Amino acid sequence: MFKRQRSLSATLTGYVVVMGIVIIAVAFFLFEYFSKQVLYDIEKEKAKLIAEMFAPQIGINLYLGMDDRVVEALRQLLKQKEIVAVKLYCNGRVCHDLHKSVSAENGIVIETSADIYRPGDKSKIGKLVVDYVSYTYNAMLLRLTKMFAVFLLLLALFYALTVYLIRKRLYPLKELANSLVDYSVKNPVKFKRLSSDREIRQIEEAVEKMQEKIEEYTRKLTHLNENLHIQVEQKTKKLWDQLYSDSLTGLPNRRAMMRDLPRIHGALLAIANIDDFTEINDLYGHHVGDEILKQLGAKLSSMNFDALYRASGDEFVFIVKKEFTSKSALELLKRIREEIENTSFLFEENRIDLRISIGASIEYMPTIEQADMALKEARKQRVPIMLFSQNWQVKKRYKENIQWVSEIKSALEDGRIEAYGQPLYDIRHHHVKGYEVLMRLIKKDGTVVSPFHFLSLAQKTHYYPKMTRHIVEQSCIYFENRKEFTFSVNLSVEDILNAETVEFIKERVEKHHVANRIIFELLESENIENYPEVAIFIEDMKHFGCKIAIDDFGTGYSNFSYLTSLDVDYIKIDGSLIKNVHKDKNLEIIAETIIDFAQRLNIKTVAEFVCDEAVYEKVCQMGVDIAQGYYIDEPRPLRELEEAQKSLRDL
Amino acid sequence: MRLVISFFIFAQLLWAYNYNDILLEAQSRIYPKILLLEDGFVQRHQMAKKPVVLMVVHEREDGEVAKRVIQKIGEYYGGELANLPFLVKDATFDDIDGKEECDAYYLLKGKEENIKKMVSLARKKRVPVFVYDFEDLAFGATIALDIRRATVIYMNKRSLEWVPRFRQSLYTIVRFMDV
Repeated sequence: MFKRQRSLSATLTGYVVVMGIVIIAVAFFLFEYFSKQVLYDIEKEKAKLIAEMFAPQIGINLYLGMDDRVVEALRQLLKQKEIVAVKLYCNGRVCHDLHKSVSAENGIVIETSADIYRPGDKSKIGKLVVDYVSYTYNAMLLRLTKMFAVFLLLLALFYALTVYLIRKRLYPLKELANSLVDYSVKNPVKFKRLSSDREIRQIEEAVEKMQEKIEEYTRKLTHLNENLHIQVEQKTKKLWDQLYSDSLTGLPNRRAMMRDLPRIHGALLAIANIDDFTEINDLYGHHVGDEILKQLGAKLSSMNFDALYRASGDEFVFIVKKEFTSKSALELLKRIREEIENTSFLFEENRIDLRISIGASIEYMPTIEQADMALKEARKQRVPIMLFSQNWQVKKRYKENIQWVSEIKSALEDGRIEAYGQPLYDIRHHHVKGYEVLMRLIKKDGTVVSPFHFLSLAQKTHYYPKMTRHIVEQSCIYFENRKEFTFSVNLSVEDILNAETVEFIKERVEKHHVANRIIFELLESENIENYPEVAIFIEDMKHFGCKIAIDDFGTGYSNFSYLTSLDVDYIKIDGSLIKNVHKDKNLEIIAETIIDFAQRLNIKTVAEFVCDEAVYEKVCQMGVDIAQGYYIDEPRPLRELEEAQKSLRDL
Repeated sequence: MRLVISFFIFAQLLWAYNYNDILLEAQSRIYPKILLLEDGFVQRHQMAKKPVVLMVVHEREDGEVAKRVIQKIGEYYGGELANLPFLVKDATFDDIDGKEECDAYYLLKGKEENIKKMVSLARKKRVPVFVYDFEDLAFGATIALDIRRATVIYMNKRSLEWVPRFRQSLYTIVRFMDV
């Protein structure tokens, strides 16, 4: 941390002002205490002197019993202008008390005394007390006060002048600093030479020389950077070429194809494969095979497709950006095939005729898989050209769906829908905080199937609510007496929209006393904020004491705003963001944004798919609260959780 | 006859007191001045147009000393004290009866009873008594001058009950004896 910066002139001014205040305070104290006291002492001394001057005469007369002379002496004393009263004590009592009426308005009355001694020795025979009026005391005090005021004024002027000089002398330094604020190589600072001080001039000269050096250094650096930039560009281009080009044919390779394909739509995508190419290799040798591939690549290049790739060994992919009907597509493909098959490929006086098969897709978003499927179908049906058909997949999916529905039904009947638990690891406190309860279907052969394969299908059947309730019930029973753990259950919008399911959940939560430990995970991608029932469900369950988590957050539907309206407690960052977060800077930025956002809203974050130590370290570093994934532990049947927890690694 | 006269003179010298000339000189100079310090002394004499009279009283044997004293005072003051005529007379203790006009007595050495007698007379006349011998203050004399260690004027405090008052300045320079 830097110390708070203060202006040098302000500091010096501060010191001067503080010193001034101290000096003035001391001077004032001295004036108040000593001057007044000294003046008073002087006046008192004068009074005493007068009294002592008369004391011997009075003493003699008193000693000689000449009372009239005593009185006369006292009167003489009283005639003194400053003496207003005299008292003579004989034998401890007042024997004479004389005074005159004089106004002491402009002076102060000082009482003093002198002892009366017997003539010839020091034995005391009386005491003379006089009241002395000093008219000069106040006048002197006034004079001293004026002098002190003048002194203070001069002192103040001195300090003001000092402060002014400090600021004036340091002003060029301040100007120098201000002008340096906007310094850049393109905008060098020209000093105004405000000061005649040698030191400041030296600083200005030094800074100017430094600017010159910086400018020269920057010029060299810029030149170096430009050269490096050119070299890097050249190298990059070369590497890109190597990365995205096929070294044999010079055509874009499979990597380039995968890069470009997602942008292709409304076009024909075809794979051309040389029939029996293995035989050419076997018969003529690989070098001939390579030569044939080069010639075929050149031939295809000459056909001016919108894009052409060598996908693998003897497979070429080409794209024609145009909308096709099946008929027009087949006609084009037929022409292409004929042109290739009518072309003779020559190598060292050997003429090689090629036959090719073509599989193609003219779907709006054609994929390489579709074209590949079409190529396989062509080979299967032993035809040279085949277009991809959607019917192939629909039929397949329908068949699969029927199988899955049957499997779900029998699993529910046989009790093969089972709740699994996967630990939720509290990163900050280094312990398993709870578990996410996951649904698993156990096939008859013992294979454990993730809901990924059947859940979307199940949600369309009337078996789905039963499956949800089954999982809720199993988890509530299991965690009822394991009060040290929280547990979360996944709910879909369908579950929440089903009043019976919601009622069932409430009833089970109350029955098993798990309200303060159960967390309902709602899938982020289901547009949940648009359902009032969801908001009501969240409000109701939070009223019970339950917590709400948003599952798979960041999967492309991310909407930060509804998090505030739905009052959620946890955000589970989607595994697709987490599993490569330590390698991909973009993923890291997205994840950090979500975490930062959650922290600002006081929402805890859970990182899913923490699959290895590197990911774990990364999510720890990013400030995630809870980690979940295979690095912690894999999902296990609830009955095995306790045993598994004993062997959990210490993170 | 010469023998008789010589014997007589010798006898007188034999019985006479010893005197310190310096002390006599000092007293001759100072005592008249002290007299002037008496309150209203000059004015009183000016109004009465009377001379100032100092009576030197001595034992019969000290007649010569008295003459010397008178001579010294005469030399010093020239018969005038503060523009007043100044007469210095002498008499023996036996001759004094208190009826003679004088302003002060100056007692040379004398017997105790003579000193006391003079003090008693002076008390009645209310005039001060100067003495040659400091120790005579013990018999009630007023003022003595001592020069043994330092020049000091002694004043008998008790005599102040009957002697005229002196000016304040005198009181400030004298040393009082309360005997």
